[in-house]
Amino acid sequence: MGPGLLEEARGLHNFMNWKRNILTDSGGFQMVSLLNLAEITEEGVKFKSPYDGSECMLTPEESIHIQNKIGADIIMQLDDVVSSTTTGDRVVEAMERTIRWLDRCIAAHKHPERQSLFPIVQGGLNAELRQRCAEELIKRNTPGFAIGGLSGGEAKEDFWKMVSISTEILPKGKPRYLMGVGFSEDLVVCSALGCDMYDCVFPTRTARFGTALLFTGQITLKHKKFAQDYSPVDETCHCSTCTTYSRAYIHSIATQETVACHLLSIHNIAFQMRLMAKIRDSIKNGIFPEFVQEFMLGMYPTKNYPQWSLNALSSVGIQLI
Amino acid sequence: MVFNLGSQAIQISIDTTYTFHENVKPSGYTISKFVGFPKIPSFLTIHNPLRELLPGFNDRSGISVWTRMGRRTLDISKFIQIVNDFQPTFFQVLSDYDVSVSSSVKRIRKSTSRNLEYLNEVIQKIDSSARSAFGTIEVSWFLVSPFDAEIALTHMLEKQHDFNGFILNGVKTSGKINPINISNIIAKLPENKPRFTPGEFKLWEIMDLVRSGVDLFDSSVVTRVSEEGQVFSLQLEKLNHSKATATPVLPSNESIPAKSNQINGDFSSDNENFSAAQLVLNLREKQYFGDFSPISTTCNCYTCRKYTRAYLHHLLCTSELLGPVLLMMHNLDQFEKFFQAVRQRLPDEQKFAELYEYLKSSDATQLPISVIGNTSTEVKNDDSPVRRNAARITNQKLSTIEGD
Repeated sequence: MGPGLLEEARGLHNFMNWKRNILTDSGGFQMVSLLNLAEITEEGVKFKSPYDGSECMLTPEESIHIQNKIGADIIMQLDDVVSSTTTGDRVVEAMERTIRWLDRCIAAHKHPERQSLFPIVQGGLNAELRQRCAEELIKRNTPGFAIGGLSGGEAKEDFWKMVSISTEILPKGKPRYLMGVGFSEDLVVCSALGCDMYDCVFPTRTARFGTALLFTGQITLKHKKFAQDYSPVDETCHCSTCTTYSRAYIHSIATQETVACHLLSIHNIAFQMRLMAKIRDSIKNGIFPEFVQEFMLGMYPTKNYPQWSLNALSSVGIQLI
Repeated sequence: MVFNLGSQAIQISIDTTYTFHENVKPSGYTISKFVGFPKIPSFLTIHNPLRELLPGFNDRSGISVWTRMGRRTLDISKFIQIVNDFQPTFFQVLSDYDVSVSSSVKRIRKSTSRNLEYLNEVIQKIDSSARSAFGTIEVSWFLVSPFDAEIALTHMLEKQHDFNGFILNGVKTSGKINPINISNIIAKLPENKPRFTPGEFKLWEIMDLVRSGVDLFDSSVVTRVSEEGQVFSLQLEKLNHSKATATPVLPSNESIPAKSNQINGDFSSDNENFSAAQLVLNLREKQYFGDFSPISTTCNCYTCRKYTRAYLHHLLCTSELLGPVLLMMHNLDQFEKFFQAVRQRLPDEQKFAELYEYLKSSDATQLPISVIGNTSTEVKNDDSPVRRNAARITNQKLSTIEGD
């Protein structure tokens, strides 16, 4: 019913009155998050509803057709996703199937002229698999690429290495979308490694629990110490929350009143956008390494930088102060 | 701001802000400023008007408020402290609310005597030059023991120069209007002090109360309607439309298919059908699944300019936080338009009755007829309640409440 309605509405942009870009995912992530309810075969993923036991089959073709109707500007292939802590044959199978499913997605895509279809590099934490996967995907000549299967529960040291391998191989002139990232520090480090686009639920989810993001880290406004702090959430921020309300006020309503969710979500999203703008501007102005140094010092004033960040940044020639 | 607060004040209640006042004081902010509305007047009441209060919890030490942390006793000195910390523009004097039609006379007497005691304390201890105190009259006093009620009222009136308005509490019990003549109570009150009936009333019940002499209402009904996924679609612009002179409002909805943006400026074909109009829509209903029109084609609020019924239906069905926000914005806008219409029509009984009938006749879930004095739909002659109240209200008393 949903896709039919969106078709009638002439796309999601119209339905929700959003004039800017929209990106849709394929439904593939649920293979991991709802693993118990999913049966994966060469044909596609069969999901079983926990409510009434009914089944629905999500094939690569079906996923693309739905995304065509939604009308997002960037759409994702249906990939065979495994949790980043899985090892062995299953990882190989998933990586190889992802390539076959990409070809089916490309064939099914009705609007390549106005919707960019991104393939997703898989391969778990295996460098060789990732490499093979990326090489195959590049042959299909898509407008951009996603790096998937990371940002699960894997160790950060493994995480950055897999990101790095992917960005090494993927063409430099096309966007690289790192899925599921993330925390401020991860965004900066992965940008240094060559990623361009990200998505994450973290800023809004943490907002709903009363946490605000700043360039000095996070603050949990529920904490007693903010009860009489009349300064804005973030002195340097110009969002509607920071220009209207105080930390003390947000403290008094956080996790109690729904409006607190909205106020902090607004700030955290504004923060994300400011962070990305700083990354972009410093790259354009040729001072990106200096920005990274300043940013990391802001997050770690005592210079107790995490080892993985040091290693990752060092791999692209950035030393921290 | 995306919507204009117009002639409204914000209502804050002590129960939901019980833990706040100690954190507001050191800043020196008024409660208005603390909650982000520095220029808007605030009205501090004891309880959230939508909260059902439990009987049996008031005593000599104070009255009960139900806070986030559970029930707490609010005594007069804490109350005064809260008022001093919050610096509200208007406030309700501490009141013993625990009375109803089934109270004993003894309970009534406790309530009346405590209310007077609280009023005296407030008059002595709170500086009235900065803010306005409203004394509370419990309607149930008159229901159970008119004798004690009259005594209490007399005492209150002796002090009338020391406070600024009256709250008539308990007009409804458990959703039903009490069988009492509100007009008779109000007739004893001084003309120059506003009267406020807190609580949830249907729009035509508000008009009945206006006829009886009430000036102020809160937006409880708006919250309730929005919580149920419902929206007002009063189409007052059509009702107000005069064929001779009106320029139809043509808001442009930025949302979808062009066909649903066809706003027909010609209202003449609709004139016959006002009373059949559905004035409250439940957007959770399946019929709105593919309805790409705005809630109201004559409404210019943010929600109606940007979104469709289908999208709002979707937000409500998926429990998205944005849904209730958009509904509240629209419903508050409709509520404000309703009050503008009431004020406009007050001097003319026929027009007042027209709006009243329009609202009442389309109310599908009408309660048993409310008996508020003799406020039926009869249009009376020159000394009718409507005309007397019109004169009083249009003598700009309301504007002192509205603020600038």
